Amino acid sequence: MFFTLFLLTGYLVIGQTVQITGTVTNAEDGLVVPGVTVTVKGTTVGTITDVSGRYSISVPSGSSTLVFSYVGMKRTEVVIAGRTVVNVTMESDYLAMDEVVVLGYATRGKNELTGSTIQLSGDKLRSVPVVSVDQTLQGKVAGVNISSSSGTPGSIQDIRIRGVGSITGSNDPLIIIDGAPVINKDLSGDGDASSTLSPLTALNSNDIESITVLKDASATAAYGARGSNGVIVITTKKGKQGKTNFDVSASTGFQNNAVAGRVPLNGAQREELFLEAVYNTHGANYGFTKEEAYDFATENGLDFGDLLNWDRSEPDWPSVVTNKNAPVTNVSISASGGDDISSFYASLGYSKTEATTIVSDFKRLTGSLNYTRKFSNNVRFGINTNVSNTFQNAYLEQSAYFANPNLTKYFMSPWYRAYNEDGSPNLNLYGLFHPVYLAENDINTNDFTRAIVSSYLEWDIIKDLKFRTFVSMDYNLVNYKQYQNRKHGDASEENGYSYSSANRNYNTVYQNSLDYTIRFSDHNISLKALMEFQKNKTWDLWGDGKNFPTDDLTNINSAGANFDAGSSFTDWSNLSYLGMANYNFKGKYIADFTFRREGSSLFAPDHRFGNFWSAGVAWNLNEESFIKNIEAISTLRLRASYGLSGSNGVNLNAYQELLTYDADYADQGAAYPSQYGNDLLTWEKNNTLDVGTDFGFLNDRITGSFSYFYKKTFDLLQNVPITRTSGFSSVPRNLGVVENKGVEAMLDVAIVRKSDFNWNVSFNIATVKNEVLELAKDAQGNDIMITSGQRRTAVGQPIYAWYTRGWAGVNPDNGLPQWYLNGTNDEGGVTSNYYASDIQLAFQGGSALPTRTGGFGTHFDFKGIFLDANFFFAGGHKVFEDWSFYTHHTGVYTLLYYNGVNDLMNRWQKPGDETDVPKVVYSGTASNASRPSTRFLYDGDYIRLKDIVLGYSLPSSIEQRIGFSDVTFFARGTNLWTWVKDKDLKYDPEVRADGYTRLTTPPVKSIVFGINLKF
Amino acid sequence: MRKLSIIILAIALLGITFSCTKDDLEPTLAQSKNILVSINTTEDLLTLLNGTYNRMTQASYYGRDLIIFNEVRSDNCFSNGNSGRFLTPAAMTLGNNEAYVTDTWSQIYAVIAEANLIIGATDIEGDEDEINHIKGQAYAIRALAHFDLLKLYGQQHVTGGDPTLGIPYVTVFKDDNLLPVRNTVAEVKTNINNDLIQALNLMDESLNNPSKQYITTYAVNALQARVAVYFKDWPAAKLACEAVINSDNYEIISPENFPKIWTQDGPVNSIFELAFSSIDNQNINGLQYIYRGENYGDIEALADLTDLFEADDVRGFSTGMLGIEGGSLLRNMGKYPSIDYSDEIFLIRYEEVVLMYAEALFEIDNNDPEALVWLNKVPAKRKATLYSEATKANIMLERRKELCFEGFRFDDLARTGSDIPLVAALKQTHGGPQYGSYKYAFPIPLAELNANSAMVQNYGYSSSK
Repeated sequence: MFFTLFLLTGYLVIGQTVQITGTVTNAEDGLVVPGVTVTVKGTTVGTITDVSGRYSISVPSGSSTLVFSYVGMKRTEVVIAGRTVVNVTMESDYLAMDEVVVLGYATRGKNELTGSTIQLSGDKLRSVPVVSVDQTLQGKVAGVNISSSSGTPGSIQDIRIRGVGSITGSNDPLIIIDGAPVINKDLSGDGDASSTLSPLTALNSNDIESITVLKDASATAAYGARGSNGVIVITTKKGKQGKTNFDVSASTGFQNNAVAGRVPLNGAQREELFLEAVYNTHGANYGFTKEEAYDFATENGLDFGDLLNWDRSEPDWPSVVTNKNAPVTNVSISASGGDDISSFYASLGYSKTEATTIVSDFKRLTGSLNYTRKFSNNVRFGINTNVSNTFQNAYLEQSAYFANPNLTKYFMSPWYRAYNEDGSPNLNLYGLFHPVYLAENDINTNDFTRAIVSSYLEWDIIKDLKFRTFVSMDYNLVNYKQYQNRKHGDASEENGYSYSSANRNYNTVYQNSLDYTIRFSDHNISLKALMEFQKNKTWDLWGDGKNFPTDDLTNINSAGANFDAGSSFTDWSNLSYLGMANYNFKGKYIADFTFRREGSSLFAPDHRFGNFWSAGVAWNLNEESFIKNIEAISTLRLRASYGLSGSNGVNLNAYQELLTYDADYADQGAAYPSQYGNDLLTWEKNNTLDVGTDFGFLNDRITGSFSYFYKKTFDLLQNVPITRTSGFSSVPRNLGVVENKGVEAMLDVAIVRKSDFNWNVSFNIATVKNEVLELAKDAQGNDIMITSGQRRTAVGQPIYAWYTRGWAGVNPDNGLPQWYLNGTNDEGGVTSNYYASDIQLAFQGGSALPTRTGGFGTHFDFKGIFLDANFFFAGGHKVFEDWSFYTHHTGVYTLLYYNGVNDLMNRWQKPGDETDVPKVVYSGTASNASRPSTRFLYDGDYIRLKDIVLGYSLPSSIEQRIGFSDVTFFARGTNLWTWVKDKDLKYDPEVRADGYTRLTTPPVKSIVFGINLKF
Repeated sequence: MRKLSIIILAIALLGITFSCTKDDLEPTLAQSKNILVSINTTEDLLTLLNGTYNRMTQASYYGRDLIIFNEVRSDNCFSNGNSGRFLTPAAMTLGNNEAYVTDTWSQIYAVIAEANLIIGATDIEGDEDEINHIKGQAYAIRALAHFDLLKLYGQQHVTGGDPTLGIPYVTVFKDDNLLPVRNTVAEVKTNINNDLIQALNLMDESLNNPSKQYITTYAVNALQARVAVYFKDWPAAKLACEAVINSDNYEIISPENFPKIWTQDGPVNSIFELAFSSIDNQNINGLQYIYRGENYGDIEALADLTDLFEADDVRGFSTGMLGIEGGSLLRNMGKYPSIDYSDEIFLIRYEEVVLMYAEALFEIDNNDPEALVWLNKVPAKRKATLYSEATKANIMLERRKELCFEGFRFDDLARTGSDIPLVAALKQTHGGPQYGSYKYAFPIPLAELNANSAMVQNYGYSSSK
């Protein structure tokens, strides 16, 4: 037996090749690993392990090393050393992904960062049942505050990173997808009135490899003039070397409104209040009692006939407009694989979501293909394509339109039936519209197609010198259609109205760069020089027509009269030159320097170019010998950065004094001066200082970081209000200074860390204090404060601080509303006259920007069962209940024309009553009791259970038997529980960045069940 | 060697790719033009003039609001609040931050700004007479706009504050002074009259546009008369009216045609009208939608007005000019009727000039028989009983009947020193303020007070900033 073997191996040694066999196992559980690529180092000889983890390879004589590689495992090299059987144990590579951080233009190791940058891996984002990627970030990154503009699927999100720096300019961060800056504005054909549409809905969360949030100057200065509000870098998945892997995920579930909101009055309650109001106002003058009020009101037509004709049924309008348990479904399938020369990632995804308000729903189909290939040893090529089609059923939700079902809920009189005896919608609603009839007969849709193609070519010219060219094209097309039917609604008098528009936005980015690395002794210097040119073009075309001869034909072709059409074109461009240098000594001392010169077409010709720069340093203490000797400390880094970034968030062509020609009179063209102009208009700039530390103890069982930042924004773009006698309302100027400062802290503790039992908890918190330091001054040297609604920007206050009258409750003697004369407390007395000439408004503390946000959560897994829970909290801000003038009116707006909320039942009724709701009267003014004041300004603090996931992964042994590498079942709940500090705030506390509640679909909570398969 | 040539190639490649220039950063202006270089020819001036008229047609000015303000603050109409509109103007309890107050102020000043842009334009190529005719119209518009602002925001009818406070009179486009003060009522009146005289100096009768959609020399005369009547300047009113009457260009419309003119363009009794069409209108924000219908229809007529018309009067129910909707709502059905919102708005009609003439004659000499002759010319063409005597009351009555729903009533009450009559206590919500009440003026908008520290608020209104 032994003799035969010896002869066999001897034969192999004497010949040209040696046959080596062996088995590959997993270091963690000892199980075999099929599909591992085994290659002979320095040759093209290779094979793959079989289902039992076994391989057999012919190694040419002279070769000494085998290389084992597999996705998700550490690449292992083994010296053959004369053996014929080489068994290998491979370790999981779960740290590898975390060690590399994508910064957009550059990639750095985690321990090379000099600033505050957070990277989230795609695994945290997949299967979250939201349709746009930015929604998935909420609560996961310290210092990033995301609020949704509406619960309608596809709506844009307001993202604020480290506070608010701009008063008039945009506060939105820059979004980068696969290296190219992309537009991020509302693309809806009618976003001012109807639902908004975010371009990020075109991406499938399952295709995302990682999202990096750049917060401080050392990272954002590379983005120069657009990095001032932070940068979000999105990287899509790429292929990896190895056999083709498939990934399938599917989930389905249902959604409801996260917070119920107020409840409108029902018919009986409204009648009670109505008759009381009639009695309160006219009882004394006309000599009737409370019991006789009904007769007096109906005989004199004070009810417009509505109360008389009410059949005493309760129509329950809120449930007519609510879509309970709205279904949400997501399916994605992807494949990735590759070999030495090329790799690919392809995916297909389908998503369907219904909104919690009737009418609205959302469907999306996405497909992507990312491919890389080595043309030769020195030249690499890559292309990323992503095409999607999104269909959004929108509705008029941005304001109090009669066609808005959210308005119907609070404004529809409960004395009108919802349905007739035969079940058809009752259309006799005297002014408002029936939402179900409109949902069935009107059209309001966005059909959005997006194609992003980015490709690059990298050439290693000589050792350490690399040239890269990159081109990206992003085409967005939205076809919007609106049809108002002929019989009931806004167009009933004109026999129907149809509007269509095609909005196209085309964005191209060119980048060319050179990278050079210098290495000597332990010093590493990387240099990069890059040039970027971006051009963006927008075309709009619209048409409309009226007077339709029949139902069901809804395109303009079928209209009979009053045709109108228009088209327009706008563009902008950006040119920049960037230089970056990074110095690294032994991984211990790091220094970063960035310089960017950028020019933008948005500014006046002499002020187009700006220079932006940053410098950062980091010290990795854990590489120092005196720290290495301390066992308990596994990671300790100090870092600091300082730099100058800018913001160009001003309207297109704002610097020009313009005449606009889109008007007409008597069928002739007409022009009007549309813009005051300012030929000194230039960038907004900010200086940011960031210092922090990252630490890890006990072999990284406890990890965390702490940062302090100070951001000073100057040359603020302000629309300074000017006298309206000029014919304009404001002029854009660069004046003013704002500061934001705060701390961010994160802590992650792995309480238990074993192979089959893990439990860790994590916390993060961010604070921000916002203050205006300087504003524009008028000719007399007084600050020009900017007042808008109930908010005012003034020196010493945060931007758009709440500034309104102070509510002093209801006078218990007479039931009249009261306000503080000095706006804050009763030291100056109170008045019941809202417009008294000596009444003052005052700052009420805080603004709509939360001063503290954060989250805490836990992860628990045991033998395949796992549980994740994450809470999000925000506080220190105030929220204003918009439309409260109507919904809390103690007069005819609620009791006669429309409807009100059932909080009105707590009204004052007789002297001595202590309550916050004044007396009801039959009047349109009602003493202005429901006009804006602190009565409707609430503390916005809240805590929300953002995510809770319970799941089970089949054990590897069973998975392998059925041929899968991962089978996971899960149930996921989003926004399931919300706690609001202010008991008077009954609406969802998550509002848009301006702090007002709205009549849009509120945020939703959902429960989905799903499965992930990998094979 | 090969390495060197590769490096050279690389550098050359870089050079090409870095070759974008500054000029690539010039944005495209496709819907607008830079003001500084775009006003060069007569045609450019005419385009600006069209823009000025277009600004007058907006809902916050003559497109709806100004006319309705003057109808609800009176005994003609009230707001039933069906869509929540015009409740505070009807109650005459406006807050300084309401849209009614701010938007109308801003829109009228926007009209003035564009008129000033035309007036101040220099170095225009083209026929000088045509250029002057355009500039003359701009002067007239400027005068009319300031007149409307004064009637709405001035303190001339309010006791308790400073009754000489008028409104800022602006004569330069993009003036350097961004803190204008309020001119006195007397200064505003003088400036208005000077502007109207300048308009007549520049305009040429032969260039008057026959469509009536542009201001003509006779329209300027009619405006002079209107201003003179408001300020009780009767001899000037008489002269101005005669200029219009003696032109023989206009007639009082016949009774058969009275109901029809409201859907026509340029009838014989129109002196100046604002142009609207089926695709250029204020849509649901116009007069048609607010005067009737279920969706808005907030403005209803009062019985006190509709009872004035005799059975055969062509302005009443018999021809459908007045009507009843929904069984009980009294409505203006005939003026601004079209469901496609395309009707013209007649700013100046010949009938108004006739009645102003009668009033001027009466005021100069109470016994002048011509006053009665002219007063009766209107009812004669309306199948209404003629008057036996020319009295102030009869003249105001005939004005009320002829010009109802067109935005004249409040000014007629204010200029004659009348209280606002309370004729239907359950429908009118202003409580019938007495003449001199602070409610006779709108408040200065808070936005203006915030941006202009030299602006002073009207008596009785809050200046809290």
